[in-house]
Amino acid sequence: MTRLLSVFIDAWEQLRLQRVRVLMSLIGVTLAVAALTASLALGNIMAKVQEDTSIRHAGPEATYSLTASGPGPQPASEDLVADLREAADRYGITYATPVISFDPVVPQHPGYVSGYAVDPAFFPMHARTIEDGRALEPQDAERLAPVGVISRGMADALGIQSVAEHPTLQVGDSRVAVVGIVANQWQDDASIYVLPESYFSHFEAATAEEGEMGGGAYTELKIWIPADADPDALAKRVASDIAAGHEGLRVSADRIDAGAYADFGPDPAVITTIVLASVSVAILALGALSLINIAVVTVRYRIREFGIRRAFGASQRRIFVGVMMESVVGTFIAGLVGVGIVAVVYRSPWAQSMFGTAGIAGLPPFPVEAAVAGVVTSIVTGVIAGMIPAVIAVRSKVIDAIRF
Amino acid sequence: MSLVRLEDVTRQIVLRDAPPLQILKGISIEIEAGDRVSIVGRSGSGKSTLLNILGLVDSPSTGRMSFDDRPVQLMRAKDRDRLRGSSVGFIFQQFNLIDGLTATENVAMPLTYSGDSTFWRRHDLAREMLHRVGLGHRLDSPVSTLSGGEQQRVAIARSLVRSPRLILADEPTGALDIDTGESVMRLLDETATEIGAALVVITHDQAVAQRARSRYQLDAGVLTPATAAAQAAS
Ligand SMILES: Nc1ncnc2c1ncn2[C@@H]1O[C@H](COP(=O)(O)OP(=O)(O)OP(=O)(O)O)[C@@H](O)[C@H]1O
Ligand SMILES: [Mg+2]
Repeated sequence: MTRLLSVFIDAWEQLRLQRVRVLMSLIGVTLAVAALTASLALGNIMAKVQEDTSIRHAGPEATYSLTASGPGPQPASEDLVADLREAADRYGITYATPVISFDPVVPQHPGYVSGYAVDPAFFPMHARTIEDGRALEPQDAERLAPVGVISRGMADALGIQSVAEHPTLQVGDSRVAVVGIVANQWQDDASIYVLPESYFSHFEAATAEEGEMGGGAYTELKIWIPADADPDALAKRVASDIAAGHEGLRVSADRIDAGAYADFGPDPAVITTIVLASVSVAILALGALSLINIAVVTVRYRIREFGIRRAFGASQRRIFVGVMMESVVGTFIAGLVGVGIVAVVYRSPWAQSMFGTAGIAGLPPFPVEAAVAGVVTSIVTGVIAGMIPAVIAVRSKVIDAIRF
Repeated sequence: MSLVRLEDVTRQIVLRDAPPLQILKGISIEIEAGDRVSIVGRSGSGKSTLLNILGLVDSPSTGRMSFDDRPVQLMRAKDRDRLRGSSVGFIFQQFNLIDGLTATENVAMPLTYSGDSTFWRRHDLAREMLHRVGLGHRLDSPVSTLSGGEQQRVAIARSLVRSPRLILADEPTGALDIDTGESVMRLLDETATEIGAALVVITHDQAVAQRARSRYQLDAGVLTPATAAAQAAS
């Protein structure tokens, strides 16, 4: 028993105490930097995703939704679309689109499909990336057969590889020529986009039939006005112009982009980042303290060495920088490792699936700002932790160190 | 032109609760390029203090000192550090090698501060110097594994690696047996001659002292030429 124990104790003593402790506190720095980088990255990604989501669903700054309401009879969608286009033309608004949501009948598709009748401006307004083929174009209205753009999820479900194969799709009673595939908004997104003209002539009737059973189409009008052009006033004018053409109709213009909510208190993403970052900084401070502790002890043992070095031409400054650099190099490497760990975890399938279940389709690239902040923080920690031992090192008297 | 000159130099240390300690009193000495100087004295007589002043590690309390005929008191600390690094080679009584480094690394250390191209060749130059002191077979040994004589050779190699003009040896044979001490002194003499350096040796060994052309003795901080009696004793 004693023999066995003595082996362990011996081995333990052989592990140079100092080095183990330095390593331990550097591990502390590594973990703290990793935590800091991760929290900054997370905040960064959350903010990006929020912005992205907002643009995809609502629109960029400043986007308005125009909604028509009673007490008079609700005008036909077709009229509203025409009114919107006319008003947009008059005021020189490039980005305006109706969004008519309908439920298309797609026998080939096993699940539920969302249909949207939109103008070409819809795609750039909502940052929808065309992955294959093209977006809808105004000339598509002149073609006899309806033309559609479908989401990637729908293309996958129907086994459509590329629009180069001129795929077509049965929707209700019509055959739609698929000219483009747009990026998914969520996993297995099954959507089809057509021009309002196609909708009115091919699908409106079918949807209306169904509408009697409680479904029906919903028409929203959206305009995007650059934020610097007094958007509120212009949006109100467009709204009243549209209302003017119809007896007893009220049209309200509501701003719906993320900028409209800017006044509703601090962003949850920012709060999360601040909390996580504060915790990491506290861990980092503890790591730095133990580094300082070890460095101060070690540096006292090394006074003699500094004296010898001074005798061979090292200046005070050189000794100071040397001791400081030992700390900085240590924390720098620890920081690099920490940032590396976060980057590797970020790229891992595990993290990707985590983000996937959180409803984020394409993971944005690892935020460089977070990585840089992590490395810079580790260097700053090294400088602060190295300062005290460096001062002790230069304060020591050379002569006292080397004489006896 | 002299390499180092001290005129009426004193060194005193102000102690708390006690009168100032007079370690060196009115020291005058002149060392020329290539000189061989020995200083003997009892323990505590101030030999190491004098050596530290000669080597620009310590400074006089009063009196005048010049290095290369330039007054040392007027030099800036940085220039003094640089001059010390380039012109002085120390050999300490206790070797004062840096533990944990190999022989080569110890000898290369002074070149770390050269600030010129020798920095990049420091390991080659260090190995070359170790070969010259007969330690070509222990280049990569940690210095703590070397014998006393070997350690002193490493210290000699280190003091010579920047080709100093002044070699200051504080009891270089103090920790060595007579034969080893003898061979170390011969080595020191030869290499100093090779690079044309002045050599100041502190010793209590008369045999070592006798090798020098200029011999001094230090008594309670007072430096005098060695007595005829001591010289006759050899
Ligand atoms: N910084 C100091 N503080 C206090 N006393 C000092 C200091 N430096 C030197 N002394 C004293 O001055 C005297 C001379 O010291 P020094 O080291 O020069 O002697 P030495 O001749 O080299 O002795 P040894 O042969 O033992 O090495 C000693 O009594 C020493 O205690
Ligand atoms: Mg001494």
